Amino acid sequence: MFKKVLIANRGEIAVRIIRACREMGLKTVAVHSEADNDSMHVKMADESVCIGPGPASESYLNIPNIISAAEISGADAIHPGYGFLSENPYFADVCESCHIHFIGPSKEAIERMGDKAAARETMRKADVPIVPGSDGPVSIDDAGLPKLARKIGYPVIVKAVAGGGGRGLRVVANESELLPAIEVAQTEAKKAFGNGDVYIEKYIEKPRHIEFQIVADAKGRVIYLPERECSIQRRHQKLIEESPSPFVDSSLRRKMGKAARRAAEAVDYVTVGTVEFLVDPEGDFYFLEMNTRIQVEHTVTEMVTGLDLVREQIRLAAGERIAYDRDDYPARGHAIECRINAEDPEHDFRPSPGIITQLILPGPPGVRVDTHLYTGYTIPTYYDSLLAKLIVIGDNREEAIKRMQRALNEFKIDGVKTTIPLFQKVMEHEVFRKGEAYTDFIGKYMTASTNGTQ
Amino acid sequence: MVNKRLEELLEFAESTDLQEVVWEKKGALISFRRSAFSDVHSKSMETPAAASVANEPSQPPEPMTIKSTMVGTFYRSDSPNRPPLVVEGTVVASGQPVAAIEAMKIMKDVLSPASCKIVKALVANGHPVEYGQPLFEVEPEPLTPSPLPGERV
Repeated sequence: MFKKVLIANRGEIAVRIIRACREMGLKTVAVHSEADNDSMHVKMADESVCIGPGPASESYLNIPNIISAAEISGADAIHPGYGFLSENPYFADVCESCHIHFIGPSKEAIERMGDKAAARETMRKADVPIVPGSDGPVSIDDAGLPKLARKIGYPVIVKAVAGGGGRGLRVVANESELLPAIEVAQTEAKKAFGNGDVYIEKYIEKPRHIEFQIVADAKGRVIYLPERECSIQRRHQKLIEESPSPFVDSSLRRKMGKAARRAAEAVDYVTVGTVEFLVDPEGDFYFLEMNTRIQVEHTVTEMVTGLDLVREQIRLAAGERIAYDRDDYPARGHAIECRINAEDPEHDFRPSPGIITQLILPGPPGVRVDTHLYTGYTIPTYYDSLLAKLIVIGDNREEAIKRMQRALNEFKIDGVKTTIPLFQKVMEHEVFRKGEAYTDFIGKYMTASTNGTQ
Repeated sequence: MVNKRLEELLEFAESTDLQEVVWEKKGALISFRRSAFSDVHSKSMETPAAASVANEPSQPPEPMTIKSTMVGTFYRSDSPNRPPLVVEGTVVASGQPVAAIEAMKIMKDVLSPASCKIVKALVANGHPVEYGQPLFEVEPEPLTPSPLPGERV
């Protein structure tokens, strides 16, 4: 086992990792930017090293300074958390060449899952369903195109290869619209990204985002944990996660869990990771991507399984083996997480930095708060807006929702605007309560009402 | 003479309603900015002649320092067998090496950001340093650098 772990991250996840290390008897080193001198993770760790000025590019992404911090502090392992360098294969490689353990999968696994086209091909070979589509860019001069679109099945969506932010996207309902839509999308993509290449794939209506946490040891054993549903998103940013999904039954769970396992096995995955799927109302599911790190929402899985996933991650990175016999893991109860961000939901979620003048946390039973906040803390403007994760567990979904409402009501964060009022509205919403929310939920039901113009 | 020039500049600044006055000559830079308390201050390392002139000199100015720009192990010399690059009283020019920091088996010089006199070393040889950590306390010194201790060819 490692002796001293350097945490190459900040905020709530750095605090979470320090807690796991402390319980395991491992010493901790916090690294921080000048903007984070007074951060919770710096106060909590056994040692701390300032690694640069506020901007992440000069501090939390500064590989030479982070490695040097590990060397001068004598850390023998680095935990990258999520974001920042957590899915950077080069960083994993540098750690290895400096004889520091990277707490995560191999650089090859990160690389193979990080490249979208390569990951798709790997999944196809591993018999993991992928969204049917063209292999690479399409051209309107290609005579085989209409046939390909028919084979994929309408509606199809035209996407820009260099795409993002919804630009260069066109949904096509039938064959007569196909070629014009491709032409328009190419022009749009050329204008927006300087690259006019577009591809087509099946358009999934009413998609849910459902993902599987997998746990893998160096002996090649992979198990999957109960799924998480993360359909409540805003601009591809998850806001609410729950486990289990209100949609998935035991047979679909087994099918998807096994596919997730194949995905992990295909890249010789070690430690913890997440395989994300899009699921349509018929229960057909498609590989989206694999996150090769601990995720923000690992907490809901911890609540329903009783596992400490960060501890597992560290143990497995140190070469230890999975400690239980079954290949799957039963869920006990229902957990929901709300990501409390320093954003103003009444003004298009604009960031709301400032000083926390008062903090009152909700309490038990069945309530967990992962946060780095304290009264008097100043939220720096350089980093993401996540303030706290509020997680509840109940015997069933209905009880969990009631408990979340109670906890949101108790939670007081003064000094900045937060997304708490938004979550109160979501918890009351009939569509959410019925478990029928798709990834368009926030845009469809929450935008007008949160503007106070309903 | 520099102080006289400074007084002239101050008088000039006060006679106008300008918010900011910047004077630059031969690498020296003096700037005044009006604030609610009409503080007059100078840019630290670049204006050795005008060290922290304030209207209310109640608080002693923070000592000027040379700070670390990286994380690593601090060395007073650039090689184990050599004497320290600078000692107390050494006057260094802008850009002159004053110490070295080793990170990932690579030695990098710490360069003085301005001409100044070393008042004292704040970190012992061989100790780890973090980003932004003060390494030397210095005072402004506009004069020609003194010969290095153990001058090398």
